[in-house]
Amino acid sequence: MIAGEPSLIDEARAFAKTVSDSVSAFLGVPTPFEAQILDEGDRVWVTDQGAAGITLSVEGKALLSLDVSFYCTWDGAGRYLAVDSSRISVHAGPRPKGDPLFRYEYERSSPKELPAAHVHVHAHRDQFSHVMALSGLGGARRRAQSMADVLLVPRLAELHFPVGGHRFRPCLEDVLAVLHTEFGVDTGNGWQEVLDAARAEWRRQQLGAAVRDCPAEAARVLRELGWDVTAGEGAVRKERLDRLAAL
Amino acid sequence: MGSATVQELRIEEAEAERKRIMESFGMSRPQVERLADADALTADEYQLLRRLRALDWLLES
Repeated sequence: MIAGEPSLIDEARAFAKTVSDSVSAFLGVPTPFEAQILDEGDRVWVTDQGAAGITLSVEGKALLSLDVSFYCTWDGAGRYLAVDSSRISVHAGPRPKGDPLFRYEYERSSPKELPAAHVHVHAHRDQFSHVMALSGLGGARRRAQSMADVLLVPRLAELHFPVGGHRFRPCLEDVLAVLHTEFGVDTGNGWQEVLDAARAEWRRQQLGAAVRDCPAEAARVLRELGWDVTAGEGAVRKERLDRLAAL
Repeated sequence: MGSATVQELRIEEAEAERKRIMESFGMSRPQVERLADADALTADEYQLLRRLRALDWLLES
């Protein structure tokens, strides 16, 4: 962290408030969030206050629940709070209690062969399990830790569906919106505008990060759009191919 | 409409809480995770497991 810049506590509170704004607007009821920090640590856990999960109603009945956890730390430069991993899962029933219906996850340090941002579908499909079993030691089976794991019936939940990588992954607002679109979850007034604004802001931030990954391409497109862009002395030219090529 | 609070924990508090939670489960951590995967935890137990996962992560730093 650079002297004079916001502290980890300030950044964590601001981030938790942003998340709470989106969830509260979506549900139409105040939904406070909490950031938990160790006194000498540099890591933050952001979740709903009390960490009991968030109940979602369909036509007034509490049918689903949401489990939101963001694990954050400083970015590489120590200037901005960065999400190290996140887990947004949707459960059947009014409170989360284990196996979700599906979950969206992000792992900044995920193994190279796995997508950093992905969806786990927990639906049990015998046909899918059969195909996975037939694939032998490929894919999820290849990643099994032991013979005992190999002998377990493969589950659809073991698959990692890619959803855009480090920069273009879906955000919380995307998951909230699909809950309304696909499941008819009750919403508060004006939720869509709040979520749209939060999503646009999220994508601006991600676009900034993407430009840092590939400055020459950003400059080329800006020139194409009529901007006058030249590389100054000391300009960062190196492309971060590891980020661009990552799943 | 939203709001947020920050809770600061001392390392000793976090370690003691983690120990208390594990004792309340009365089984190994992998067993607890397996029960969660099998949807065999109560909502209160799952809440404790979420807390446990977070404490693990916070204490790694």
